Amino acid sequence: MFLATPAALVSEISIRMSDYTRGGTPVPVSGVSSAPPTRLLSDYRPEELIYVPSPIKPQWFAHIQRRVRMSTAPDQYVKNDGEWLRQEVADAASAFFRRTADLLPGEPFIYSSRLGDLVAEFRAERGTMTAIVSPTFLLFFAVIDGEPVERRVIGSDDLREEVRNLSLRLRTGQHGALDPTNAGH
Amino acid sequence: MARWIPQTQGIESNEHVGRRLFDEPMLVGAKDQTSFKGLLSRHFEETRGDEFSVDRLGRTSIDKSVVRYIRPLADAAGKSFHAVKRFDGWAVLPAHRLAKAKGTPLPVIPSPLPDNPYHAHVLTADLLKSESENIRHYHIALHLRQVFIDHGTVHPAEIQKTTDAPRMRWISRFKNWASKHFSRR
Repeated sequence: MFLATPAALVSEISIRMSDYTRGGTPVPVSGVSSAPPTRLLSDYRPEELIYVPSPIKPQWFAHIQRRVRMSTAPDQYVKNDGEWLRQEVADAASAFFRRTADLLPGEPFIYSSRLGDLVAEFRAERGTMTAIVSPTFLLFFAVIDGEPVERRVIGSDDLREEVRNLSLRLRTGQHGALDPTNAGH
Repeated sequence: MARWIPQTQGIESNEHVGRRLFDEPMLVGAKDQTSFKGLLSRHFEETRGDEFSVDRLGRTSIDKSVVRYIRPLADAAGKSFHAVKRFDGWAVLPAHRLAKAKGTPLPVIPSPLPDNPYHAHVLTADLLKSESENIRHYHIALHLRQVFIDHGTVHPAEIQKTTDAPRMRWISRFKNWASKHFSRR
């Protein structure tokens, strides 16, 4: 089906000059009016606020989120011997995977700890990593080329950086760029 | 040959000690995961304080007669859980691997029980004392698991023939016969 462009819209079309030219006034396209241009988002918001990077999630992310969701205890009175996650643990686990899935070494095997927190087991080329996800802290215990490495994150500021460093070491054996042990190499 | 009777004054360095492994529950929403090949950290979480329970399985290696003695106790322990757990075997290592562990030594102390003269415990009171309670709980479990992975083996429990099997087969045959003859009447 052919759609005709309404005349009212055509009349607002103008070419916006690049911001760095002097006296950059919109140049009217022949045959259309010189109405002032609509303000663009970039005119009043800095670029970093417009461009919010959204890392591409790995394929397993959806499976893990579903497993966590399906394992969330329907209520606090349900009999729980390690088959269910408390709501706050499930929320913490979901947030952890959402924030770090693109950095993690691969699909984890998940289960509940005896204290009710989530345990996620990862495997990579150079070793293994266990993540304990609790509502109040995250504990990582990796064994890289036979050497144990332990990290904990309380709060979420350093989370991505810690996971990035550990994953890099698990894949390549190398330290991350911000790892102090890499200084001077 | 008579079954080895352990001394109660101390543990010899080559004695083999084993941590019982039970069939731990999986999350209800995560039963589609591919099985995990390693040892779950749940096996090494001790929720009863700083005494990590083990069995003394032999003076210099795993003693079959000792295993035969302890096996029914381990099966019974599995049935005593809130949700019954199958006993799968032991993670085993020589005691000196714990006593001379990297960092803080982990002494193994005999603690015979009325029904189990082979019971002992690994004292973890001096391990990671500066940690907060929850993080310490996990850190100890992950540390102990790594010592068992690095220096130990898994001694699987032999599958025992159940005396109920012939009876169950007969009941199943009867059910099939009955459903064939009476289901459409």
